[in-house]
Amino acid sequence: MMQIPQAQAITGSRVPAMAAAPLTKRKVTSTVREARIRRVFVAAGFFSVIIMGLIILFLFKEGLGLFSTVSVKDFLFGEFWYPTYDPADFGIFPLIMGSVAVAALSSAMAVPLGVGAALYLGEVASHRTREILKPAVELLASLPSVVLGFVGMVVIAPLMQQWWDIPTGLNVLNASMMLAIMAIPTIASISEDALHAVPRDLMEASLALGATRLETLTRVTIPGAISGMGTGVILGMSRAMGETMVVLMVAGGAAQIPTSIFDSVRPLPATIAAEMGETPFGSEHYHALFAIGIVLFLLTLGFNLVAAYVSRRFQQKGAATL
Amino acid sequence: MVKASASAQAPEEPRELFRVHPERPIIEVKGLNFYYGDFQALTGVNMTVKRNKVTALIGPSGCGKSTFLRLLNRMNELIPGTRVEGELLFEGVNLYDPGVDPVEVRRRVGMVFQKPNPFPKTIYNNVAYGPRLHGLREARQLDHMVERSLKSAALWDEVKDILHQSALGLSGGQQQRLCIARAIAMQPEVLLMDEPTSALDPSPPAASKSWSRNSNKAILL
Repeated sequence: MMQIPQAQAITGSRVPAMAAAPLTKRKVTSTVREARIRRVFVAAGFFSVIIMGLIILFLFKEGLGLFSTVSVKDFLFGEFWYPTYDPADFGIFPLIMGSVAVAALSSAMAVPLGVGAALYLGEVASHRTREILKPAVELLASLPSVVLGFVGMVVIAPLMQQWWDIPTGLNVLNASMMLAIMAIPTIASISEDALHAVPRDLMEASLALGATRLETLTRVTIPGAISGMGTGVILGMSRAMGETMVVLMVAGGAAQIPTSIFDSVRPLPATIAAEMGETPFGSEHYHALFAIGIVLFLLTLGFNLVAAYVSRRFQQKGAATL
Repeated sequence: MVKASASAQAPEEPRELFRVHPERPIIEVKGLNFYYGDFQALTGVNMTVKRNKVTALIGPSGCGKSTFLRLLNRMNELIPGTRVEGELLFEGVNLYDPGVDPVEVRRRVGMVFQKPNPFPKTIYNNVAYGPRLHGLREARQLDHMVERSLKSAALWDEVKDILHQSALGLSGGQQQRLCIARAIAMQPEVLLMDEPTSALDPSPPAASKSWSRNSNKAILL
């Protein structure tokens, strides 16, 4: 009696099995519930992708409108950004150079400091020091950027003006310093995780061969962590590139190609933030700001692609690269 | 005259620290206690290890064999909160004397770990790692050293054509023999092997035995 439904189940017969009814019923409800939960997760997973797609669509729809009146070349390489003049100039080259200058200088400051902090936390500091310092470094990342901008504006800028006797303290150097402070925790935290992920076995192997700690660090640990450290550096730089509030507050806002670190600049995100509120909806200027958004998006996308490439390229798997 | 003799004696080279006396056991352990924090892992260990012999330590798992081995090249001090009591004499010098450099100890007391742990480098660079630390740069000497070490570990025939491929492409047993070759390349006076064959093919012990026979070394398994 009991064997018949089982046999039917095995042969795949769809005849309902009376004897096994309770079991079958529970099975059905659990698969229904599973399917439902699955759908929830799928929806959650696709939600951000869809939002992202819509934003990009919107960005391009609004931004590309500009290129019916301004050529791409004039836009990217034009040296004058006078959006409210008549006739207006929409050359964002000074803005790009402002962003690049600030990003480059802040990286030059943040990379050695961030990597150095990671090396200290991961390799030199005692366990207890590390337990205290690492959260502190990560806390730095949670500092609102507007607070940093405030510090740059009210504390650093007047000091710079006094020390070096320059017309304004709101300049490339000031903005770079504030951005470096923002990028350091990203770089330090990701790099430290990468150092931490290098198997202990390998370090022990090196030490057991009579390597000093420094030799082990430079020959085994850093090469093993280089992909993660590269990723951290690039993400930190990309953060500095896209950051808006700090550059809006302390970069000075002059749309000129910088020739010194004491020049004021107007990076791309600051331009959008400063001008979007004052521009008539649908005007040429409005479209130009969206076009800047596209450029910015492509720049940060580029950074992230490079980060992904670096993390894959230098992974120590397969063919040895060392 | 006085000056000359003084200068001949005064600079005690690290190499001279462990003076070889052929009759003396290479390692003597006296009343050794070892603690991980509050936990005492080894209690009153006394033993001697003879020169040019293979010495095996046996015991149930968790009884402290690995801990003891790791004391012999000062690897345990990398673990925070550990403490050593008693004497551990290598060539008559206590390894835990304040003046003894752990790096020097590890160069002379090699170690092969339980799990194969080759570097994610080429096979060649794995074996050449130690000699390079010694400052050996000349390609011909390095080639020679690598070949000899791999032959001693009975791995040469299998890898001689793929020396510049990743060591991670080797099988587990090959990786372990590579680790043995890597340790041998340092020409240590004592080679500590922590159950190197536990997961592996039977050739490593045979290979390392043949290596020990034609050198003045002691091996612990």
